Amino acid sequence: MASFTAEVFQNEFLAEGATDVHAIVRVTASGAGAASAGSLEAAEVIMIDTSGSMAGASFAAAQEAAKVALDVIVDGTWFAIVGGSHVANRVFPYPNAPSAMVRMEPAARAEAKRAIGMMRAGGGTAMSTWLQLAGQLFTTVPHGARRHAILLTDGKNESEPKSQLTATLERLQGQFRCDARGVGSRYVVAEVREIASALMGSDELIRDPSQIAASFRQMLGESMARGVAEAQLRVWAPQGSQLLFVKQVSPKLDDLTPRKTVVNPLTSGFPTGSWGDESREYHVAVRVGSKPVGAEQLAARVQIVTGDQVQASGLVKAMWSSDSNLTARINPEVAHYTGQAELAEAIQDGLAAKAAGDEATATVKLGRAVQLAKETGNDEATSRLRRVVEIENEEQGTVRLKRNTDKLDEMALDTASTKTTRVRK
Amino acid sequence: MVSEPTTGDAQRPAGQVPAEGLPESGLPVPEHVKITDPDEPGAPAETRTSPEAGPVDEPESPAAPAVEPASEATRAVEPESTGESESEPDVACPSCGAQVAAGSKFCEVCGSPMTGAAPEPEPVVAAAAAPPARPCARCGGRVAADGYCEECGAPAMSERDHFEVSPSATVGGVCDRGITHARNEDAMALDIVGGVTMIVVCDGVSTAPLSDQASLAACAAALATLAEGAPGGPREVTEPPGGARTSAWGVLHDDAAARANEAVLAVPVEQPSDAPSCTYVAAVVHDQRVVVASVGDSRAYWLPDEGRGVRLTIDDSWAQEMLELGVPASRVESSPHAHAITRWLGPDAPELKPRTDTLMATTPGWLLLCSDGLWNYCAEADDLGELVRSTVAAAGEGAIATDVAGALVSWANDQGGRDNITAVLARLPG
Repeated sequence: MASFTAEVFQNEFLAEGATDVHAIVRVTASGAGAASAGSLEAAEVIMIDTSGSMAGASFAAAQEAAKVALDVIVDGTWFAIVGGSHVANRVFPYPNAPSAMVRMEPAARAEAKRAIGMMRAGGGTAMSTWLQLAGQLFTTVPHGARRHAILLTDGKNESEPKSQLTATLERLQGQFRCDARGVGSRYVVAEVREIASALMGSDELIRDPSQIAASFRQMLGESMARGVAEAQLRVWAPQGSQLLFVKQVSPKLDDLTPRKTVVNPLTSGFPTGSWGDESREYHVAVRVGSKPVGAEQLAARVQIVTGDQVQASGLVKAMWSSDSNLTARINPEVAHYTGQAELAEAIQDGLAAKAAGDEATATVKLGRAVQLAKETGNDEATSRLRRVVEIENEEQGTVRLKRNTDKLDEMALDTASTKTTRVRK
Repeated sequence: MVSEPTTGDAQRPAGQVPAEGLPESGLPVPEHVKITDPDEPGAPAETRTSPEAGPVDEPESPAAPAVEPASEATRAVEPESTGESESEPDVACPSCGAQVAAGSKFCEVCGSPMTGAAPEPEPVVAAAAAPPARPCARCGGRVAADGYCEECGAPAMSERDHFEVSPSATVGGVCDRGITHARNEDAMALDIVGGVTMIVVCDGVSTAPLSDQASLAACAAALATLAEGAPGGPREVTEPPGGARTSAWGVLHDDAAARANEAVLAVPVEQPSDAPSCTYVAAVVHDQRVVVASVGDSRAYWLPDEGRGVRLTIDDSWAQEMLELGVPASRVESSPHAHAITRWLGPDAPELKPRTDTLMATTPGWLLLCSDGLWNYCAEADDLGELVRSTVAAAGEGAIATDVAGALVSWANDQGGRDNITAVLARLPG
């Protein structure tokens, strides 16, 4: 049986007149791994881009990868294959089949592989239609099942307005988890990130079509190790306070604030999707009314809830003090993740400026990113930045933009910008 | 807790010097005083205990040589209370489960009020069936199992840190730890016996250990003594009305203070140098007659609905002595010794006889008894009268005296809550 723990990292001491309370809450699940996942009903939908741009090596590799994925999906799992262009098609079960999803077993696996082999590339790209079909398919499987999808694309979502995708994602939030992958250099990092973020999945760049199969295997392996189908993060804040934001900060940055649902007037709920044996960290910021020196107040109760059961609870406190030795300290975890969030923003803003031809802004932003990566000990970010800029001084953040950079390096830097490192002990 | 006295002094006003011989004002150094607040500057340990105090281990009760059952050790090792009901079976304390003599106002073991101990009249706020988690002392919300209110997030307070007593809709009080102090050393006891309202408020001296127990014990003992003067009591104060009645209550007040002192002396101390101590203010309302008695700097005020408010007590404090010598109030109040008291109840108490005063309340108004945790923020009678009037108005229709007292306590907490706060109100019809 899965169990959760919650740890709070904060400096609870506030100076006189101070109102903002920041804390990092680490939620750890254990006993949610493969063993417990095996007893859980599960459903998998694989969405493959079948637009005209895929034709060639990418499409063949994607077909192969989908077949490999079928081998990884364990018998008994509900599954379906979707081919997506400007419309979405159910590839398997066949469009005329009576049920929208079927349980995996050897005959179904063989038939599904045959169906994948008959897929043809052609048409435009409207990803909202693919996701909508996946959402419909998932409604047919038993309640409480772990619902997971994979989306693979190689291009821009060009056959529909941007708002269409955003609106669809909003509607589908919390219904299933979706890991999104872009292959090659022609897709838009921000679009893939938007899908993964809204549907609580991961997003990654696949540089070469030959790596698609390995990526699929990894995603499915992780999915099948998640023994908790859905958990909700709940944040209570006192009467008269304001919940400033709730962000996941580890293993990757994801602002949960826009996904807030109302549990009761003082409690907000945020979907977190499925859980395996893992730790995730959240940055919670609450603005409370200032209290006299000496006063203590609970600023937030952060809880992880499955079903309607509170699995773990962390208390974020506020204590007003006149001792500046206590109040001036910044908690290392809060400082670290504040820096990492700024790092992600600097990378994304810098690359956007570069793409828009604003080299001055790009140089400043990416320079700041180099500085923050150094300060927060994010060596991976530093090495990815090196492929895009020449670093003159790491501490001061002075850089020169590289000429003739590989587009894939910029996309990799952008994609990975939300990945954070843990606080170094 | 940040409010531990050792973790720095948030409340020390800028420019004041810490405890040392001469205050910078050049005012005379008080010789026999108690600093009531350890956070106050000028609280050297030496000023706590008096060299001319009587032997600590053999406490005498100068005002009451004849020891009556009612005055026997309220802090005895065997749980037995004020002795009035020795033949009655023990009852369990609702807070800690200890066996306590029936009729006791407070548990001997944990100091929690014994709910339902007052036989008449029925309390308006039914504290009888103590629910497992009592509501938040700050906002009335539900307190979660994690120890914090589900509405306002305030930490749960123990029964000793915050309690309310409501003998009737027109008489009620609230005793609260405040914000800065780690413990509530204030205490109160109030009741209506045979139509006579009696109120006792004690403020434990926080520089002396165990003063939280001392103040509770003193309140309980004093109230039991005053109750003897109620109709049907062994020392009933009867007609003819007039001066005779006032002097009869005066005698009871003297005895009540003496019994309260005995109760303080009975608090078991760990070492002889511990001298648990407290201030004392008591009031009896018999028809229109109000008789008050005080030792120390807890106060009683008469706040009529119309006309000027009156302070009914004179502080036994260094500040008061300086004022009487003609030192300007501004210099006295800024002195590090402003909070030193010159008389108190306890092993080293210099003199026990309370100062008394009396008043005929011929117009409607409020009688207020309070500790300095309230009046420090609003000392003038007229200002307090205004505060009470506006608080009553804000409390609205249907508010009982306890609600108004609670709002006064909240107001003091909003001002900083730098000391324990007790406010007891009695509505007099005039």
